[in-house]
Amino acid sequence: MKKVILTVCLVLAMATLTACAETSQEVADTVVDMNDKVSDAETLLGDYKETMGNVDLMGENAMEGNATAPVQTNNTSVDDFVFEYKGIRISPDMNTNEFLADLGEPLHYYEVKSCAFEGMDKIYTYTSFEISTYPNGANDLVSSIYFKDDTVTTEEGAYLGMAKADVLALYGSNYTESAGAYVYSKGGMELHFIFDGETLASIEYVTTVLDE
Amino acid sequence: MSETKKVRRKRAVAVIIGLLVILAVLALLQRLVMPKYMGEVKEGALISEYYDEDKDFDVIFIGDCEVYENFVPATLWENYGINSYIRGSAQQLIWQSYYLMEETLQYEKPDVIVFNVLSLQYNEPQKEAYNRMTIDGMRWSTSKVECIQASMLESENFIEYVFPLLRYHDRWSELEPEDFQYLLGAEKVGHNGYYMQVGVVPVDYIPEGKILGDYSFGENAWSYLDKMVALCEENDVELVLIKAPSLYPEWYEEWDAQVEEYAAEHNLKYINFLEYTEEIGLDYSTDTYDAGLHLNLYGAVKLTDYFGAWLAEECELQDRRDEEALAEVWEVKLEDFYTQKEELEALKEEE
Repeated sequence: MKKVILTVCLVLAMATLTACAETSQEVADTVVDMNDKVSDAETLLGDYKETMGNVDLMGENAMEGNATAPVQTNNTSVDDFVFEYKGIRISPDMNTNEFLADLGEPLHYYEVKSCAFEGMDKIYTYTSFEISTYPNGANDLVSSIYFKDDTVTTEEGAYLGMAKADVLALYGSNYTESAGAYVYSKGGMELHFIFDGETLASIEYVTTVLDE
Repeated sequence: MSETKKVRRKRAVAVIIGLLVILAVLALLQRLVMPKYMGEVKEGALISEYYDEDKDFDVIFIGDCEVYENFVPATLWENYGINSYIRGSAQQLIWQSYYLMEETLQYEKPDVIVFNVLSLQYNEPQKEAYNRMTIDGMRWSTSKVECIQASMLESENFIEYVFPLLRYHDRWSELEPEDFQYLLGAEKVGHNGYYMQVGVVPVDYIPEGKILGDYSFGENAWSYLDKMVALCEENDVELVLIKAPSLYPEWYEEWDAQVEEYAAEHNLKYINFLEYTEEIGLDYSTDTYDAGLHLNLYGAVKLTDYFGAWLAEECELQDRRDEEALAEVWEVKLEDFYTQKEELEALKEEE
């Protein structure tokens, strides 16, 4: 009996000392420091390195910005969904420092303090679209880009009011349906289309980082 | 007694003492590395505070931040003699509300349970960090076990709720002074579950709600509301549904219509306070501390006063201010309440 009790205690102690550090770190970050974006930052750093690797591979022209899409500016990659507005390229999880100044003053700005987490989610509303961000340390990264009218299009050409058949012709059938939205996934981000009957009613680029 | 028996007995005692020491050290370590919620994020400490109460409440509020930031039990007592408590927590999901309700009913039978319906929008678990802020503070019971099972994400393990040390052990490198300061006990955060805020950030813009592909609440969410209704009926408790007057996030008309229909079908009272902001006297240029997400103390007092009158009349709650023992308890609570109000206002002045 003594051996059994001792074994249980030792197992408990061992488990405590050897439990998965990585997952535990995630919770420590999210719950304790209320900075649950630390691991996201690592992911993003990885994505960034990968992106820079891709850029390197694209060669000198790409580095000089001579090439056209799908070569990306900033830290977007060919594997990202990209929204382009007046030559400014924006993707989910991009640091707002890279494009905010170029976009000019938003019509509206709104800060949303989470129920519990430190930092602010921010919403920048422009005439034709809305950019939402989430905090990541000292930076703000894009959580979503939401279209507000039909004067802007996705990089592939979708716009609000477009016929459903045309959207599907552009993007194909490799989508999943979630909460009434057609969801296309690429590079750790999603492009959501919502249809009102046969017409495109909503377009939104969304990060998947916050789902993790 | 033979020499062998004496040796065996000594060994047994040594083993038992050794085991007790190991368990005590592990328990202490667990307590040390677990979050105390005494820093900037205090909301995680609210749930556990209920257990220290006398549990003789007329009204229990259950729900997310829209209850613990918008309703003030002190006002219900001062103005209407209603003894109330808020069992609220950050992003409390509806199944967590149900299990908190179930647990609460093991302790007491209030006249009314008030549930804020915003969480109907979530049909599945969201974030472990939020789960922890609700569940870690619950005492062990079948309700807690079932709450964990209903709340866990795929990445979570039940054993880590049983032994939080397994989850938090590598906070070793990040321990802060508060972890040692509150090792043996935390400071009280709530006032009967109300989390006081006195800042003022006026509303000058609210983002429009995004178009949704499906405005229907999920089956899982509905099923827990059904269970709440059944549980309240079994316990002869009146369930009142509310939507707090928070301007953001969007409370869609389609959502409101579903709740109204459900309430009518189940003979429940439902108040969407967003429709009564003028009657309540809310001024979103002065009564919110975060631009419309939650009310500050001044707005919350207005809302609570309005709701108190409604509760007294519609639910026929008695004024208990003439109960000497209860009045004495509230005298102490009100002193704490106004002391913190003064302290927070003084801090605000300094800023």
